[in-house]
Amino acid sequence: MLFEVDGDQLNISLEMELDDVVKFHEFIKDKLDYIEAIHVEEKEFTIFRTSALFQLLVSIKNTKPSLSIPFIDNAEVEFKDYGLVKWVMQ
Amino acid sequence: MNKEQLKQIFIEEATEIIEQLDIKIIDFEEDPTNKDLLNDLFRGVHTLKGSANSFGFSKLGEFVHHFEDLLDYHRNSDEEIATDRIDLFLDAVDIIKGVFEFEVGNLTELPSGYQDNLDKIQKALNLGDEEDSSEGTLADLSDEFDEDFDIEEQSSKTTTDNQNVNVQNRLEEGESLFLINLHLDTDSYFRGFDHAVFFKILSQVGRILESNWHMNNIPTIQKLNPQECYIQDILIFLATRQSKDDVLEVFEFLEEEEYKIEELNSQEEQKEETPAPIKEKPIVKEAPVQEIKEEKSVEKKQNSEVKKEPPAKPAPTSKPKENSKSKIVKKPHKKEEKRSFVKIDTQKLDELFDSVGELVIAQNFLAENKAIKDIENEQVNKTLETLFKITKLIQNRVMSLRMVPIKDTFDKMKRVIRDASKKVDKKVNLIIQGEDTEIDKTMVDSLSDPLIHIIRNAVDHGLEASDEDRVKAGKNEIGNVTLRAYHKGGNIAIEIGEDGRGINRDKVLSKAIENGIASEDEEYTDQQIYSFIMKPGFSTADKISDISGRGVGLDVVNTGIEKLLGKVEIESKEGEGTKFTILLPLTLAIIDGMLVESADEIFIIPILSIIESFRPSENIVHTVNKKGEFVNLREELLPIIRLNEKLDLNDKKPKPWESTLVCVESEKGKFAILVDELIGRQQVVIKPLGKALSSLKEISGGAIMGNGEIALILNIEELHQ
Repeated sequence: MLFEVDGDQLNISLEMELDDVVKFHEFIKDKLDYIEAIHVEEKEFTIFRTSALFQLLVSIKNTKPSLSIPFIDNAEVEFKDYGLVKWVMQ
Repeated sequence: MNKEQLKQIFIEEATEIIEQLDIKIIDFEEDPTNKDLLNDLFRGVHTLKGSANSFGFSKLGEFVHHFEDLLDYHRNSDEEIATDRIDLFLDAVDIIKGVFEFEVGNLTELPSGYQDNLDKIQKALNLGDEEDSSEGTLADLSDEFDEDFDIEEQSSKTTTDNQNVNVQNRLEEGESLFLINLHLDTDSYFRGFDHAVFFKILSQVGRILESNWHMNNIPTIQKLNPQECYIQDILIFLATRQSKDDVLEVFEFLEEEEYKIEELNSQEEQKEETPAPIKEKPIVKEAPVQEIKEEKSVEKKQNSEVKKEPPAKPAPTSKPKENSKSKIVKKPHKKEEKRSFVKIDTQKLDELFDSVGELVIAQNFLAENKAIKDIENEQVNKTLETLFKITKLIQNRVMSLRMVPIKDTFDKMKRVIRDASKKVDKKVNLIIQGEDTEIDKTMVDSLSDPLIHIIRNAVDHGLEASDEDRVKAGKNEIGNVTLRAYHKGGNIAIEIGEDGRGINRDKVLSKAIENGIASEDEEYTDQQIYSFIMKPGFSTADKISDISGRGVGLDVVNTGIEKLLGKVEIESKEGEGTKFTILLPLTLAIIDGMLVESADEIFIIPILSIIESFRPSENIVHTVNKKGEFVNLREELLPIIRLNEKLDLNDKKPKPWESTLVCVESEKGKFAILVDELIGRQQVVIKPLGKALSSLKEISGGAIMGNGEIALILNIEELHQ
């Protein structure tokens, strides 16, 4: 599964492609009240399939700032193939 | 490739885009729920904007930018698009056409209506986005446009000195450091581009050390369209041993404003100043170009000694599947089509065609050569036969290169119908049939004007004056105009028909007599009477409208079609409608001709004009005092034109019943050409006449025969007055 609810936590995969992100957006947009954290299930990050996933995660964060998304909250993510990714959100 | 060559490519591609704009708008009007059409339109306008600015066509860039904003508003809105908004779109396209001419032709005056249209677009934008007061004036919009680039400039400075030093320290020996600013447009996902694609390719070109993702303007989830890109800028530090050109190649399918590359550890700060050629998006047509470029890369790799992988080209990312909400993203999937296309200068095609013409002539030489004919060697004859077959095959294939579907020409007529029906306030339904029929490309441009005139005439005069009149006549209030193309014999037939009131035969005849075109004493067939409406200055219209009624339109049709070596036939039934049929040869370069002999000279009569040929019996040939000779062919009296006399070849007067008569049909009616002998039918390659012969109006061209002699092609329209 590319996204899966586990209680009030949502587990997602970086394997999502654009069409999966569209479904993910459709799925989550009315369920934010019931989600408290979003975790990326991969232990190590190598690559990502679409940047649309990242902007969706940021959008979720902008909509519900209290929601925990370590992948975004940490401000930096290291990808094995793509180096250090830094989020700039002023 | 120098800037001038790039400009030529821009002009060519921009022309193609502009030509398609109003067609797409009308398609969208017909199917307003189909956002794919609107997105397609937007992509065309977006490409035009980027390219226009690259070449300094600021007025075009400015106008197109605002138009793009309006389209963008509508493609992101569920608001129903009213007819007056479609009118605004179409008017904007007219202005774009005018501004394009202004820019390309270095004209001094912008098209009239430029500012007015721009104001209307601004007003529409303000109405659509009232909450955004910052977009209050055109100047503001213009500033915003300029700022597109400023944002980029500023963003590139948001890497700190520490960060720069940090990444520089991580360079390995022989590596250069590049700072890449990716600033993808909001529609990049639609176009098949995703940052992920570029990261993947860059990781093959070198090592991505770090990247800063500017995620400032991401909307909340309810306002977010996941298929739209909101990520402002991504600054990527790339360490690589490859050259800047190799890195630039990664982004070759992006618009030039969507990326910027700086070599950080280079002493000279190089800025790319050469405008990039139009980088069309990877939609249907462009996909094959990408394939070709990929082949080129492989070739380069094979020929190169350098042991490095050439960077792969960005391929469109995968798109939402069919069951996803958006239909917009389906287009790039067409890339999977196996067919590929190459753009070729038409001049090169013409040269190829000429060469094939020479080949056909050389083959005819061989076929006619007596020495070769006398060879009784089966092997030689078989080889010659194969050669002839291959020559024919090459000729057909080269011919097919010039053939294009008539669809584009028919599509343009949708706008003509829309405008004409609106002007005369009639409801019209356009039916298009046979749009895949192919026609010689050289004819396409010349065909538009005649079609426009006939269609306008059909809407204005052909159809009943009002809906009520149609209902009274027992018809649906919506009039039908049919455009149909098909092959007829060796020709192309294009029919323009309507189910209107039909031509009033008696009214046309009396008007023709009044105008001195026809005589009261003569009998005319229906076809001859209908052909009067195509005479210069002829109009039976009781009132003159903006679109027809001055009697100039249909005359233009005749002249235009004659230039294409074709002819127009008219059929009409009062109360039921009228049909114009344009008959055209398949190509202007080769015609089917009948070779005839007169006074020991060979002439060619286009087969299209010939009805029949025969040797008359003495009792059907008559001489009428002062009016010349006639032949009574099945109760129809046809004038006889002696070719040798007409062309002053000799003074001989052979008896018609000992000669051959070729019955032909011209705009003026049927007549019989008296020749000594029929030689046979042959396809001939038309060669233009030199200055000396071009004044002979009875001759339209020349052709080289198999024996090396030149035969003249007769201009049937001018043989009989």
